[in-house]
Amino acid sequence: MIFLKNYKRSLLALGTLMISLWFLINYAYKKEVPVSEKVAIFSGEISGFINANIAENSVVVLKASVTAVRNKELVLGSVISVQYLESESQNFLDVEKGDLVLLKGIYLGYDDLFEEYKLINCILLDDE
Amino acid sequence: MKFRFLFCFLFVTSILSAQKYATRSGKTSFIGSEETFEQIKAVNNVSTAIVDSSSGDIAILLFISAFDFEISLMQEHFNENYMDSSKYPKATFSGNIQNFSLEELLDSEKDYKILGVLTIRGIEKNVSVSCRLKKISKGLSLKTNFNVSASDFDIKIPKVVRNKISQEINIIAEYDLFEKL
Repeated sequence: MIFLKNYKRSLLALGTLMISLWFLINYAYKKEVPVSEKVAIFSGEISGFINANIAENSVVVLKASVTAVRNKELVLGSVISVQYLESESQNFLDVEKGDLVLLKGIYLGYDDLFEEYKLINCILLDDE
Repeated sequence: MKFRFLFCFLFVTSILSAQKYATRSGKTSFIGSEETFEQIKAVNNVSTAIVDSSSGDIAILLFISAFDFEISLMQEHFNENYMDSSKYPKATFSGNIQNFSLEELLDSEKDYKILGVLTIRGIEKNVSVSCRLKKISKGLSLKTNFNVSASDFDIKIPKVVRNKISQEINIIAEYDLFEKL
């Protein structure tokens, strides 16, 4: 008890420091919110997506037919390149050319080299 | 008339025969600090690149915001404070692989030099970098490792973090390029 009384201020300062440090570490090391939990700013089909002039790094939900399947990536409507995370490989395993898919991902921007729109970190919501 | 037809035929065949090798998932990483408590490094696994095998011309494009950091706060600072990625979303490189010949590529790596223009934050800089090329199944593998100076691209490093962030940024690229259909 005497110890607590004598060192009251020091203990308070130490406590405040520990709490501040805990908040700081949590802020610095906060995990990125997965795409599945992010709110999509666009939901629709390719024509609407292209005309909507969507800002880069926005989350979008797209329904479109698959025009090509390559290693760890799909092409939608010949104009959108879709890349997914390694952890999603199993879900995309059964997707074939001609399938109508519903997926969610981050619109990165327009790739001038390949002349296509680029979606990354995609997750498959539905495959018909 | 015959001459015109022949000219058109030769022009079209020369374009068709210009075989291109490409990737949409090239790995580009950088290290921007010395060995510190938390090293500043990031990787971009969605870089695109095309090599024209007839001329050795090469073009690379990558989205700055696709650089993935282990610490998300670092990624936030990188995009907002240093690279201004909303204003300059892309970095590009266009150049030529000197003395490139697809036929001369081997299964083992061979050294080449690339001359070209690197554009970061809208600022163009002539660069000469060494690279290693080798033949892989249905394509070619390109590896390069070079340094760029942050000040060349007007990347301002505040005084308080100058001992943590190095002025010379080490860029490492590894691309497996396959025949573009």
